[in-house]
Amino acid sequence: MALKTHVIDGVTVVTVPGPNLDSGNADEFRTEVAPILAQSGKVVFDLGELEFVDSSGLGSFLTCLRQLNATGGDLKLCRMRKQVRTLFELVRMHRVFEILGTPAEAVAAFK
Amino acid sequence: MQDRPTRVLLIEDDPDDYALTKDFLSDIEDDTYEMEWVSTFETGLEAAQRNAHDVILVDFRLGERTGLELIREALKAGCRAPVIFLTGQRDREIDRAAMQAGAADYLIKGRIDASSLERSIRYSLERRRHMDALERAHAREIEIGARIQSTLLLTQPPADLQGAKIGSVSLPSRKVDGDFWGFFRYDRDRFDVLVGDVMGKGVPAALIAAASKSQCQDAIRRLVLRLAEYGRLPDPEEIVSAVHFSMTKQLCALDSFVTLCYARFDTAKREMLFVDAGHMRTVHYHASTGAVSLLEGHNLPLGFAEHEMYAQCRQTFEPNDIFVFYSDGVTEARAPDGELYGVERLQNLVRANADKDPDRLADMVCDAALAFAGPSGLSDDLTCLVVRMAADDEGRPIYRAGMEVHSTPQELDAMRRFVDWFCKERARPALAEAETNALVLAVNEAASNILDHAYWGARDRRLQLNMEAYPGSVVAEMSDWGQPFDHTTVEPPAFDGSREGGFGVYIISQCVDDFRYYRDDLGRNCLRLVKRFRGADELGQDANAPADLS
Repeated sequence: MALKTHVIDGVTVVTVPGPNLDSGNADEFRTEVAPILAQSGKVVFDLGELEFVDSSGLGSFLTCLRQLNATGGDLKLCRMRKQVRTLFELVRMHRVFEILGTPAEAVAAFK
Repeated sequence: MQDRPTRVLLIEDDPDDYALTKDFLSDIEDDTYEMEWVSTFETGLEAAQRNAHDVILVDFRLGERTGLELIREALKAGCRAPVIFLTGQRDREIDRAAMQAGAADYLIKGRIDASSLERSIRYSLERRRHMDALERAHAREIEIGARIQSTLLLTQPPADLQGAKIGSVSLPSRKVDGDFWGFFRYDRDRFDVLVGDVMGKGVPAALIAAASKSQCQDAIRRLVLRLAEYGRLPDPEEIVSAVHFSMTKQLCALDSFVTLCYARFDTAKREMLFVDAGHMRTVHYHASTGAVSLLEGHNLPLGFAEHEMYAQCRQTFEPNDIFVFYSDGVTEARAPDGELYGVERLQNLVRANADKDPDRLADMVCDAALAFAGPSGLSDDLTCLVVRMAADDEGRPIYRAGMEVHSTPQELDAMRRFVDWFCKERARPALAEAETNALVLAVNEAASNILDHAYWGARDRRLQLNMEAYPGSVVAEMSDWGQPFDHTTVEPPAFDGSREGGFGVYIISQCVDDFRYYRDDLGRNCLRLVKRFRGADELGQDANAPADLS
């Protein structure tokens, strides 16, 4: 799983590869993204490619959020599709994560 | 010789005889005795009932009454100590009456001395010990029989039949009957119900019942293999004939016989084929008319006649029809006035309670027979098996499709696409997008749980997903051979994000309208997820969704 990242205004935007994040690849994603989080305190996950996320995928996002929060950083999510949003709302994670429309909006939210 | 004195109760109205007996007891060497003396019938009976003595000595004459009456009443009240009868003169009639009343010995005053009294007490106590051992052995036999019955003979009916629901109840009597039942399933439409009763009681009857049941299983297995090339299942008459062939000589040699009713239910054809080998007539409730009929075949029990030709009868049924199988203990429950419960009362009870759940109805049948007989009027086990055919709209899916995958997370995507395809292409009408997504998510979470908690990460195991489309719902059913996983033991998730896991079961519960976990008759874990079509009148259900969707 190669992760595409780019930095805008000091915020690292990670494109989470699609179309699925489930128990088949959630651990891999967690491992791959860990060094990126270690380097950068301000991170945005671009979920535009993701059509389906299950509870394992959601769990990996929570790991990332807690890792960043522990070091004073933060994680924001953007470009979330409707089906993924439904899962977040189901388990009320839309109140735990800050979810924005576009990567630019997510980056701006750090200011 | 003893670790404590022998406790003797003397019931004697003559103080001189008391003194004499006391002297005898103290003269006995080796053993010591502790005597309690009471002098009236009433105090004697009261003392005997306390069961605080090892042996009781009773005088024949006790004022107005006699020691004979006292023995009878004391034994009736549960007195356990052996009773030795003391009398003034030899009288064969009284001796005999005392023995019949349950006395352990009969001693004549004036001829007693320390040594004969000691000997009589010792023999009585020894006999009591033998009787106790015998009673324990008998109780143990009853327990073994009851355990054979509950574990081998009266097994749980399958809970996941598609076109029918089976309820069962058995109330064991103190003796073990040879009642048994069995269930054999072929496919979604066809299953067999076997109900039988072995003549006799106790462990021998239970063992013959177990053998009969296993002979049935064996006959089915052999016939199914043999008939596979003709593409049909064995008929009930073929199965019973094969069982008869393999058992009848042995049954005759054992001087026993087996009554049974063997029924094949075909929910697609809506017919029941049965062989009645001298069993209780099956009650058939017709839902469309409310009528109740009795089904009766023509055959003799197994073990009666070596050349019996077993022939099946055919009975059609409709949705919601009920078949009630029962043991003779039900209809032969006897009221204190001698009247039998009878099949007519049973028919009326079934007719009046046809709307009840099969388990509840079976319960009611046994309760009614028990109430009719009272606690003492029940000599046989009460067993009742209720088969209720599914209603018209349940049970038969419009469309069905299944897939099997290995237990790896890489298969999750294929399962999701399969569910998505089924909901959109096969359900009629197609399930809406949001509902389809919810079912896809629920199946995904359930499959993930199976991989993690049933198979513990083993990737070479198998997992089946079966989809069914009904007029009002879509059902996804998953089965696996892994460790039992009971979703009810899972803690609710942390909604504040403080824990990463634990969402799966909650997600499933929120995504489907109904979900049920059970172990099927093959020992597989099964999880049944039901997603209903949301009609205009059901939109109010949205109130159940998480409160803040803003």
